[in-house]
Amino acid sequence: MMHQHTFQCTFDEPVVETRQGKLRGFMRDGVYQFWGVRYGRAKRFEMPVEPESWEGVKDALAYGYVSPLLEEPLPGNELTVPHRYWPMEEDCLNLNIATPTIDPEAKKPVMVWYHGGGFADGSAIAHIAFEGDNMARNHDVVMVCVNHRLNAFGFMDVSCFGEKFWNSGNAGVVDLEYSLRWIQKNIRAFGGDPENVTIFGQSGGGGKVNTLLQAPSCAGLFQKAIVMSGVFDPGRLEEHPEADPKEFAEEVLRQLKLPEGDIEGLQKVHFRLFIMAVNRAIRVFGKRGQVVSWRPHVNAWYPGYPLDIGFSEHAKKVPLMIGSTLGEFTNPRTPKNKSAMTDQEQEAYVLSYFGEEEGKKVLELFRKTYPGKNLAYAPFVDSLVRRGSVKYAKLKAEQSEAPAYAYLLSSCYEMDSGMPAWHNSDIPYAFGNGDIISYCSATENWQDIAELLPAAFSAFAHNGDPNCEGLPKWEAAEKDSLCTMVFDAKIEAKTDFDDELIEKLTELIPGFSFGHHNPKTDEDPEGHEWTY
Amino acid sequence: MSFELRCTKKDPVVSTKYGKLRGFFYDDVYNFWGVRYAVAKRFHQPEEQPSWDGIKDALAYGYVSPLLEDPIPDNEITVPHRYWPMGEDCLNVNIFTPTIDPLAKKPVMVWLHGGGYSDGSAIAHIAFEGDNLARHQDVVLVAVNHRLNAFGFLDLSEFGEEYKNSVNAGMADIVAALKWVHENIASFGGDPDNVTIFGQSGGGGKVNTLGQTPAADGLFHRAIVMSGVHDPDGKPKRKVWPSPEPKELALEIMKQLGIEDGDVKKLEKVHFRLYIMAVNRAIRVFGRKGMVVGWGPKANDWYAGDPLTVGFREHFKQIPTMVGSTLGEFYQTSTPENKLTMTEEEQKQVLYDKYGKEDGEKVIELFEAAYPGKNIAIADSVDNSVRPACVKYCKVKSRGEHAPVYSYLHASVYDFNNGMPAWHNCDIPYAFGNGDRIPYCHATRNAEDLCVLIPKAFANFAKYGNPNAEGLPEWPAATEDAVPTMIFDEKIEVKTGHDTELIEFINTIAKPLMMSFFKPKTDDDEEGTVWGY
Repeated sequence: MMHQHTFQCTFDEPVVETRQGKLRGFMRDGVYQFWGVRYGRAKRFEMPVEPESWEGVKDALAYGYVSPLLEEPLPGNELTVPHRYWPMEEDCLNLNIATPTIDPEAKKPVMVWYHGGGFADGSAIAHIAFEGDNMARNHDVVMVCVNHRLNAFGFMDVSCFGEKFWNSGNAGVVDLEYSLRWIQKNIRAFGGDPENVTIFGQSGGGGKVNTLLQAPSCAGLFQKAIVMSGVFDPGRLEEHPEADPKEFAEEVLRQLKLPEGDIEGLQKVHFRLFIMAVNRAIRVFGKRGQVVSWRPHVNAWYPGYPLDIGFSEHAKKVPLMIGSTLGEFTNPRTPKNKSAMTDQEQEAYVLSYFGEEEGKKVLELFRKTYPGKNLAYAPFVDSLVRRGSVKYAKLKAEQSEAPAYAYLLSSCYEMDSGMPAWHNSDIPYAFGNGDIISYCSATENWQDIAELLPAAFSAFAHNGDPNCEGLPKWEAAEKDSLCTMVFDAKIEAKTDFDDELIEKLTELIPGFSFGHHNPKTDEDPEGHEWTY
Repeated sequence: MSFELRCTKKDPVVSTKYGKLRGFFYDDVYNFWGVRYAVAKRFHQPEEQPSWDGIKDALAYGYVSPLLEDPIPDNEITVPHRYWPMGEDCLNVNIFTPTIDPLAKKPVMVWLHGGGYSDGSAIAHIAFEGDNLARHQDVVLVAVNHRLNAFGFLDLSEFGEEYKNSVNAGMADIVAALKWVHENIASFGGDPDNVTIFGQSGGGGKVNTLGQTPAADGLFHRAIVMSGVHDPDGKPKRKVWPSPEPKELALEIMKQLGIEDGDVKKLEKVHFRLYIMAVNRAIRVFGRKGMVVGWGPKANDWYAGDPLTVGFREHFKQIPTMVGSTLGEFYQTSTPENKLTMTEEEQKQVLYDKYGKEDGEKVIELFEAAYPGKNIAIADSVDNSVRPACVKYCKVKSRGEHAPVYSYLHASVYDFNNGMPAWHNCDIPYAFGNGDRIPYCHATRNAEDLCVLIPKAFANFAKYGNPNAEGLPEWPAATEDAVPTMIFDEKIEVKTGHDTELIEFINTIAKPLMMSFFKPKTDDDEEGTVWGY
C-alpha cells in the first residue's frame, strides 16, 4: 500500500507530556510514534515501581531493550514468522505507541498488545507484524505494545526467601499491570481513551490476557479483551514433574558459588552470568527428569486460571473475543504438495494417516465441516486450541453478562507442501499488516481477510462488538452453542459446525507434548569448566 | 507490488558447490538468506565447508558476529536498525536476485557493512535489504556477515604459526565469501566475472583492505568506497592513543579467565559470552593505564596495508572505483533553534558564535561560494575530514596507469532535529534504492530524484564500471590534479574543487575530531562483587 510520505521530527514536534516528563517521538505517513517509553523500573525478582521524572524533553525514537532470553534465538524460517530481534537488558519495562493523533481530547480506543512466546520468549517487536502503524492509520485506534520481564527474570519464584520476594513468581505479569496503570495515567496525552482499553495477545500473550482477567488488582484497568490462540484444552498436554522452586533457586546460587539463601547476592549478578547459571541449573534438574516452567504462580495476586476456577468478578464484565487457527501446532508436511494431489490421492493420504476405518470417519466429518476443502488437510486440523477455545467461550457466556465472540482463521497457504493457518499466522491480519507479510497473500480470498479481520478487531475495540460492514452477522457465544466467524476462502458465521470433527480428532490425537527449554551446554566439547 | 510468494518444497531451489538450497521468491525477487560460505574456528582462518545431501533451507538470515557490548537502542530515525541473534558461526551471506537462470550473468554487488571492524552486520540497517536493487536495477545483491572485533581481529601471531594471521581473520572471512561468490554465484543468476564490492564507513575500509590484499585479486572487479577513506596525514591531526602490545592484551584476556599458562587452545574453547566478558575486562584494565584497544586489519605478508599510507597496489589501481562522502558526516553541531527556520542574520550568528566574527565571516564567504543559496547555518557542520581524504584518494589512485575513479558527495540537508546536513551513513538507503522505506529520505528537497538517480548510478557503475546514467549530468572521472564530483543535492550537478578552499580554511581553525573509543560498561554490580566466583 503506497502512502504519501510525510515525516516530522524536529526539536519540538511531536512532543507529548507524560506524568514523568516530556517525550519527543516522530510522525511518519500520518502516524505518531513514541518508542521505548518507560512505564516502570524494577529490580530483579522485585515488583515494579514508578519511573523517575525528568526535566526537559526525552527522545522516544528507538524501541527499548527487550527482556533477556535464556538462549540466543536460533534463526529458522522467516517466512512463517518474520522476526525483529533487539538488544536485551533487564531494564525492559517499556512500551511502544503508534497513534493517529496526539490531541488529548481525541479519546481514541486503545489496544494494548501482549506478545507471545509463552512467558519465556518473544518481545513487543519480535514479529515484523507487531508494527502498529496500520491499525492507527486505517482503524483510528491507539496501539500500545508492551515489553516486560520474561522467563527467569519475570517468573522465578523465590518467595520462600523473604517477604519482599513474595510475588517474584509473577513479577513479569505484574509488569503488565503496571503498564496498564501507566496507560491509565498517560494515554490521553497520546490521543487515547483510558476508559476504553482493549488488551489482546496471541499464544503466551493470550495467556497474559487470561492472567490479567483473573488478577483482582487489574480490575478497571481495561475494558475489553481478545485471546488469540491462547487457550489449550485442559488435560491434553503431557505433564512433567516440576522442580521445586526453593531447590531450583538453591541450585542457581550453587552454580554461582553464592552463599546459601543469598538471593540479594543473586540480584546483583551480571545478567549474562545469571542466565548461564539458570541454564546450568535447568540441566541439573533435567538430568533428574524434572522441568522448570516459566508461568504465573497462584497466590494472593493471582487466583488461578479461568478454566480451573471460573472467571473472576471483573472478567465477567469484560466483553471478550477468542479465536484460533485451523492448523495451530500440527505439522502439516506431506510427501507431495497437497494442491498437486488428486482427490483420490488426498483420500488415500488421510486413510493411510489414520487407518482405513478411522480415516473414513475423519473424511466424512471433514467434508461436512469444510465442504470443498482439500482433504489432505484433515489430519492437520488443530483440536487442542480450538477445543479449549470453544470451552472457554461457552464458559464465559455461562458466567458473564458481557458477550464473548469466537473466530477461526481456517485459510490454507500455498507454502512448503501446503500449510493450514498455523499458530500465529493470524497476527499480521489482526494488525492490518497483511500487505507487509509475504505469506498473507498466498491463500484464497486474502484481500478480504486482510481487510475484514482487522476491521473486526478494531470494531471490537471501538464498540465491544466485532460486527462490522462486510461481515455476516456475528452472534455472541451462548453457554451451550457457539457461533464462530470463519475466515477462509469464504468468510462466514457458522454455529457448532466443527464439534464432531474436533471430538473425533481429540479421540485420535489425545495428547500433546511440547518441548521444554533444554539449554545447550555452555561447556566446550571436551568438558572444560566454564569459569577457569 | 505483485504479492506473489513462491516457496514450495522444490521451488525455488538452487545448486551450489556444496549442496542444494531452497530460498523464496516474493514480489519479483528471489531471496536466499543465511547461506554459509565457509566455516572457521575461533582465531583461525576460514576453511571450506562440508557438503550436504538433500535440500537445505535458506529462509532466515544467519547469525551475525558477536559484538562486545549489547547495542544501546538510541535513535531509529537516522539509522533504523535490524538486530539479530549473534553467534561465532556467522560466516554467511544473504542473496537477493532477479533471476536464478545460471546463464543470466547479472552484475553482482557485494555489500560490506560498516561499524568499523567491530560492529554492525549484513542486516544491521533496514536499508541493507537488497530486493529493490535486484528488482529495479537488475543486479544480484550479496550482503556479507563475518567475524568482527575480538572474534575477527585479535592478534595472536606471537603464539604460534597457526595464529599468524589471526589479526586479519575477519578480513580472511570476506575473501572466503568472495571466493564462494566466484564459485557459486552463477547459479543465482550472477556473473562471477563482474563483481563489485561496496561498503560504507568500516565497510569502505574493508573495500580498501581487499584492494590491498593479494588473496582477493581476481575475486572482484570494481569497488565503491562510501565514507570510508581516512587520511593518516589529514589535518587537523587527531590524537593517537597508545595501545597495549598484542601479546600483552592476549595474556590479560587469558588472565581474566584464569588461564595462566598462555595456552591459546583454552581461550579458543571458552563460551563466547565469557570470552566477551574477559575481553571487556582486559580493555578496562588497559583503559585505566590510558591505553585503548582498537580492532582492525594489520599489515603483514597477507595484507599490504592502507593505500594512503603504503600506496595503492598495482592490481588495485586497475580496478574502477567510486568514492564518496556526505556533507556532514560525523559533524552534527547542535544549535538550540531549527536552522531551517532561521533568518539569514540568525544563520550567520551561528558561525560567529562558533568561530568568532572574523573567521566566521570567512567561513560564510567560502561556504556561499561552495554552496550558493544553501542555508548558511549548515556551514557549522561541514565535514572537513572524510571529504578531503576522498579527494586525495581519487588523485593518488589516478596517478600513472589506472582505471577510472569517480567521486560523489551527498550534500542534502534534512528537516530533522534542528536541520541536519547529510550525516555519516545517510546515503545508504539511496544507494540501495530503499528511499521509500526510510522516513527521513523524503525530508529533503529533490527527494524523488535522489531516490531514483543514486541507485541507478551505483547500478550502472556495477554494470559498466561507469556511473553515468540517464538523468544525470555528464560525470567525468578524476585525474591526478582534479576531482570532478557529482553533488547529490536539491540540484544534482558536477563540480570540481568547489569546496577545497572552504575545507582548507576550516581545517586551520577547527578542533580535531574526537572519535570516542569503545569503553565497556563494568559488569560488576554497584558494590563491586566479582563476576567469576
